Amino acid sequence: MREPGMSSDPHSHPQSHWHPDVRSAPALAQRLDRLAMRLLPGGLTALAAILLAAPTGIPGAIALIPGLAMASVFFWSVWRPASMSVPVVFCLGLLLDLIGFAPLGVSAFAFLLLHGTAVHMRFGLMRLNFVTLWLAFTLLESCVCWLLWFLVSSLSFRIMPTAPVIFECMLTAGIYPPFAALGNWAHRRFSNPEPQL
Amino acid sequence: MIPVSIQIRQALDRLWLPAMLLLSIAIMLLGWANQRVTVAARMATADVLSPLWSLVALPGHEFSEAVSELHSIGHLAHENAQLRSENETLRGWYDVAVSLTQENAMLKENLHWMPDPLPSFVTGRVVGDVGGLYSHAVLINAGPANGVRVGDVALAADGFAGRVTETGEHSARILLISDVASRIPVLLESSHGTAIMSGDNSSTPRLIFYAQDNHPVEGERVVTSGQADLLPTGIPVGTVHYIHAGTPVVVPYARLNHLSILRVFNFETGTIESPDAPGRVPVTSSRSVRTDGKKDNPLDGMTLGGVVESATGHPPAGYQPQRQDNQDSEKPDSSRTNEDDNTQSDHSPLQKSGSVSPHSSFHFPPAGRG
Repeated sequence: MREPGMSSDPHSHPQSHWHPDVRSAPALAQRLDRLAMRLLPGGLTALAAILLAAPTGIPGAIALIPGLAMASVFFWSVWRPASMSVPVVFCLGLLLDLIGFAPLGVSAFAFLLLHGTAVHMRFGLMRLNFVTLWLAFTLLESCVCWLLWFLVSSLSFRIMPTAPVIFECMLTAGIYPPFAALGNWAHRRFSNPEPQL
Repeated sequence: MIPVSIQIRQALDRLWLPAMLLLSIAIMLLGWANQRVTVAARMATADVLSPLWSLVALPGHEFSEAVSELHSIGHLAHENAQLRSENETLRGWYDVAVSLTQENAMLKENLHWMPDPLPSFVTGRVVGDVGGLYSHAVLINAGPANGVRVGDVALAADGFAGRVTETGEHSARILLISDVASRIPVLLESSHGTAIMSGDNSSTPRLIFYAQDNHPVEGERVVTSGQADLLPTGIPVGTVHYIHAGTPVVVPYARLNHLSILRVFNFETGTIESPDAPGRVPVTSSRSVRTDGKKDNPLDGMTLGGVVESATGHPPAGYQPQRQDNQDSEKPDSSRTNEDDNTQSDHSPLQKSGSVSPHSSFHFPPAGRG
């Protein structure tokens, strides 16, 4: 994970002993605070996935888990990659694989690709209006769903039924608008843990 | 922290994604190559999460029960009338069952029938829906510590639900019969045919490999077949239904998407070794290791009738249940909760006389046996 601290100070001069704008390294509490900000979206998503796996009687709760995780990974990767870093995405995918009894590492791989694409196209995506961004997300998550289907099918040597994939694509597309509304609120409410260089 | 320049830090940041992608591919290949590690990791996770899941599941279960109670208040009178008529019918069937039990006991006594061993069983609450998109499986809060072993049979209140495929410390994963990987040899009771029940991730598993001159009959009862020593004969599974001409499916008795309590039976199939004979190639049964550790089980030596008794809630006349000192003594409500799970009764008991099948090993114990 990236170190948020100001360990190297670009303004210091070796000749002078007086540093007018020297900034001290962040205190422990501040660092913990930043760490919490970094882990908050991933942690909340993991918690939601764990709670949805319990037999609550909500119809389609199991199908909601990967959709929610994909919406979360995409949203935070676009708007605040520091809060959804690569190791967090990896751990989230691995947790989903462990809970869902899918072949291990499959979701982690697919989510990392989604995260990488979202971060790469970040500045282009941020300029889009909501509907276009939603369409872009729908396209990306459909690719991820079919990639997951392909990986699961090839790792278990059996062509899996395609109906759940289509259902999953549509469900994930439907989840995104409410998730984005919630995420926007959290985005404004909690400060950015990115180092302001 | 280690002081590094911004350029190096940015370069390191860029390395994270490829490194993690490679790591996930490595995990995929390793998990595929070494299934035992994968299973151990999954069951360790399930062991950690199952107490949390049972905490979440309990209020959810109570809430849904309260909602269904509120729903049923609206048509109490209608339900009462329906129950009364059903009770009349069942009373008749109870008399039939008692007389048949007596007759069966007498016949067996005359034949010097060898009693079938009664399976020991453990009751567990379903604490997790660990299926995912491509599989149908549940997690129960009983594991090897309670006597659950891989290959055991899980029954819901009404019928066959699935088999134990993985066990952790205090939890076990049960692959349901609707899973795409499930293949169960079954027996069709009226047409006396055999078939394989193959799950296809829908709620109704398909019937395949039935004899072409003996097609399954719509509405006939499907029970497990004892072939291949995997399952005992005669566990009720469901009824045959044709969704299209030529595609028979099984409508399971167990409500597979609303499982709340499962009984896991340890049938001693596969432990009967055939005697040595010239030319016989000895096959080591992987299940024969299960015979150890069962010496202290008080249910050993009883007959299979306890399964029917606990499913119906009516012990046959003269039969004293003796599972009070069951081995899962930490769950004292386990034998009592069977009855409140027994709500579904939409499969009519109006079967032909074939329902008391000579194939079925589901018989009541002889009277006065307990």
